[in-house]
Amino acid sequence: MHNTALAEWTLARFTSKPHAAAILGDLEETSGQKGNAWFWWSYLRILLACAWRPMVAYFVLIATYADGSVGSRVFSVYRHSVISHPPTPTEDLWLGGLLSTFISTLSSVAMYACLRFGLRDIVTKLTVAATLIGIGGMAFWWHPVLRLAVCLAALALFPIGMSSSAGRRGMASCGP
Amino acid sequence: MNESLGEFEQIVLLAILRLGEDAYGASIRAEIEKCTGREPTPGAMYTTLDRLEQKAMLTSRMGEPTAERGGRAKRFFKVTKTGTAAVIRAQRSYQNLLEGLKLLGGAHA
Repeated sequence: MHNTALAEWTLARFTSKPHAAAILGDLEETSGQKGNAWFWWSYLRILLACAWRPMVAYFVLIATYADGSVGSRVFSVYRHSVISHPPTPTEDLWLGGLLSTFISTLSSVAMYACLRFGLRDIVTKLTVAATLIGIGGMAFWWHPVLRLAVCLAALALFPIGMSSSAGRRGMASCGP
Repeated sequence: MNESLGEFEQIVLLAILRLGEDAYGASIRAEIEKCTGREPTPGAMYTTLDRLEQKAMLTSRMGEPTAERGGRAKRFFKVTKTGTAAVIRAQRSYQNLLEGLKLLGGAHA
């Protein structure tokens, strides 16, 4: 019998507690024939398989958020190509400050979701869509009709997000 | 939408179908090893099981804890209708590709 409380606790950080216990139980059962070395080698490989996506995604999230450049780059393009005058204090506050921070946050979350859940996941699709809508909102802020279209597209994301979150609730797994 | 299956996903689904009610991590691993002659990578097996469950091709339920497993429960897997349909579709594709080829000592019909 192995002392695996810490191993189980660590694995449960990346999957659910019952699933981690079942995996350790499988290894415990098989290690009777295969031995201790096999047990720990298999455990490390499972831990790596379960942990690499969340870990990489987490570091990318921190790095991109700390960089925070996506929103300010979009604002810079907008400032030089769309508005011919120097930005007014309102434009500076709403577009240069709040909206660019919002876009930077969204793009970081989208990057995290891409790595953590994969491109096919609904959360990834929603965050990427929200980021694009945010960038669109900034780029077309000057045009009343396009601005309205962007706002409507942003509103449309809410019911889609709410309906998909019900299906994901309580989901915890190793896989993407 | 008809999701396609990777080779290892098919192997896992077929092993679970073969095991019936007794399909859990250790038995699936042993069945794959027995039938294919190769030991599945532990990490790949559990991520594949989780992915197949997310694709609604598998369901899982927790069993009762047993002493030989250090008091831990088994997680039993069952292939859903979606999973069975996906395996059949994948196997038909292989059969279609094999048709007319003289492999395994004769022509496949």
